Amino acid sequence: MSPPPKLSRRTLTLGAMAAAVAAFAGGLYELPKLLRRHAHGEHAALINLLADPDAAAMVGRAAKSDIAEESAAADLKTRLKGRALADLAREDDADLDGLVEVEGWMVPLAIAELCVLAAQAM
Amino acid sequence: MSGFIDARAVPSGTVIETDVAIVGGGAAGISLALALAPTPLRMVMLESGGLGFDSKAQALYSGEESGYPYLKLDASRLRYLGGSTNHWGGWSRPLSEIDFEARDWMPHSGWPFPRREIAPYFKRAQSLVECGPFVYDHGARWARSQGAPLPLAEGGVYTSWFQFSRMRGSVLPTHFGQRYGDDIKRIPRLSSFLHANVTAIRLAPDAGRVERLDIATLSGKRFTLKPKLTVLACGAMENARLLLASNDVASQGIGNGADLVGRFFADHPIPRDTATLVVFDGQLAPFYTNNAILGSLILRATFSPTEDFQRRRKIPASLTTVENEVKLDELGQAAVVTVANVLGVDATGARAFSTGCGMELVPDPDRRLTLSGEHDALGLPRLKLHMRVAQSNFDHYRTALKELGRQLLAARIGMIRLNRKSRQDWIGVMDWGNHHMGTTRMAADPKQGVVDGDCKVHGIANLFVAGSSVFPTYGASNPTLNLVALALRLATHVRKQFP
Repeated sequence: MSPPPKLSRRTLTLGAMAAAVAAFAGGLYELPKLLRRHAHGEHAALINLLADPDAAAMVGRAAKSDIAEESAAADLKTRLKGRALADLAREDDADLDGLVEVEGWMVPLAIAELCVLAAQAM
Repeated sequence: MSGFIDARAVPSGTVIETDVAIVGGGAAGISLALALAPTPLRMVMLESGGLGFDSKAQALYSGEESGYPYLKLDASRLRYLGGSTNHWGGWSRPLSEIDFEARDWMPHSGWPFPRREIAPYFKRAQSLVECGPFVYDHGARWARSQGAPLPLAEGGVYTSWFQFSRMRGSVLPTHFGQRYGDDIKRIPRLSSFLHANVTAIRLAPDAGRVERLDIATLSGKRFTLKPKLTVLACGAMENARLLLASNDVASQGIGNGADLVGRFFADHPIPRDTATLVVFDGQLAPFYTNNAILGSLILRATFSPTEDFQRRRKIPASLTTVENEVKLDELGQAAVVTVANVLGVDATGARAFSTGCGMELVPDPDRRLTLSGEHDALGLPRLKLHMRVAQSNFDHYRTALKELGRQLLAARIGMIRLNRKSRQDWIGVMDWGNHHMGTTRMAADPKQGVVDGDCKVHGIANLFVAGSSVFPTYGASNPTLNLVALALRLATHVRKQFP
């Protein structure tokens, strides 16, 4: 059995530098999440599940002229009942009437409603 | 006599007798002549232009336009041998079953016969337009080496396929004059006159038969053709013009007892940038954005509403093409990120494309050609077009686009933005197919149409019309393949007139 290899100062230095670079890169990756604004209020939990609530808020501001916040909140509350938003989107995109036009973008109603709430909350 | 004859060399006062006169040397006229070539019939084909573009002949087409913005009447067609095939794009697709149906939700719709009447002629027509094998909606199988069509969710829009004409030995679509000029010259009993303009169709006093055609050249020669049977094949504008202008016996013009000649003019609007189509994973087979060249077969994938969807939603036909890749604006990026996130789809590689379209117009009797007070160099009254396009046409098309967007979402593969809504939006991106149709519409009832199901002018024993002017409903398919098939069918009726 051979003795364990001795770690030279050079190896240790390179290792430390690599660890530092990795940590920095990891920090950069996580930075947007750390800096991300969070929604507040009644629907915050739902909105904060989105990868980019600011993007949703932007869509919501465009949808506000067609979807009132109160009706969006009420409709989502009625429909969600423990289900995932994706399930509602699937219901919506089963029929043309389930889509709404947000400055031309065809969006499932439930998503558009959440965006309107995001615009309110962000 | 055979070969091309320069009408400018024919002495004035000459009277020529023949069995069949074909007025016009475009796709319809040439197809008809080729189909009748094996018969013993003596034929004369009269082409206004020569073998190439001539500005003086082209100027005979100029006229007036009013109403909805449209093209100049002398800019959307060509007046020389081969006609408008000299500038066509080669897009080909047979009309669908529904295009022939009378639909109670589309006033004035329906042909006097179903698609199966014309279907036997598609094979020969396909050969004449040089589109390779008759594939169309089986295109996915032929183009699979280039990828698969988008896996749309079940619904009202599907990937439909166009084929393209390519002239033998050329990269261009088939220019009928150039391609079939030598074949025409070789038909032994056909005399083909160039620079020969029909200026009047002269009826017998009882208005039941054509007796003769007055012919003039721009060089001042005037002579007469006495055919036993005449086929007008000079395009949807000129067919109507000749019938309306020949009003010495029938004061309203020939075949115009029901005031239908010139009405129901149609074209295919082809507005640009109608929508932005996003594919979440960025994967789009190249046959959507470019022609797939597979030997003699050239294919392009488009999106069309299914016949069932058209019936359920009461919308006319359309096709949506995928054009160039575009960049999304901030809102577009936000919409894609948000929707893809909720749907649980990775859209980091998403790509966006602008779409174009070809739309069927709903028949409209007030979209109309009439004679103007002006006359051309030969003394023939010029045309005046009043163009109308109802906003509902665009609303109908948006329904098809929305359905496409829904199917993209439901399949979790993409989404769509509708880029045009208001009348001004559409006018701003409007272009036209130059597919003139409808002005001598076909119907079994003389009160509803100018020609009957055999393309014979109602009430005139020996006058027929070839070309897309007889289309009573238009579909979204480009007309050339279909009008060639119809001309081939007409040839069988012409033969029957000479037992």
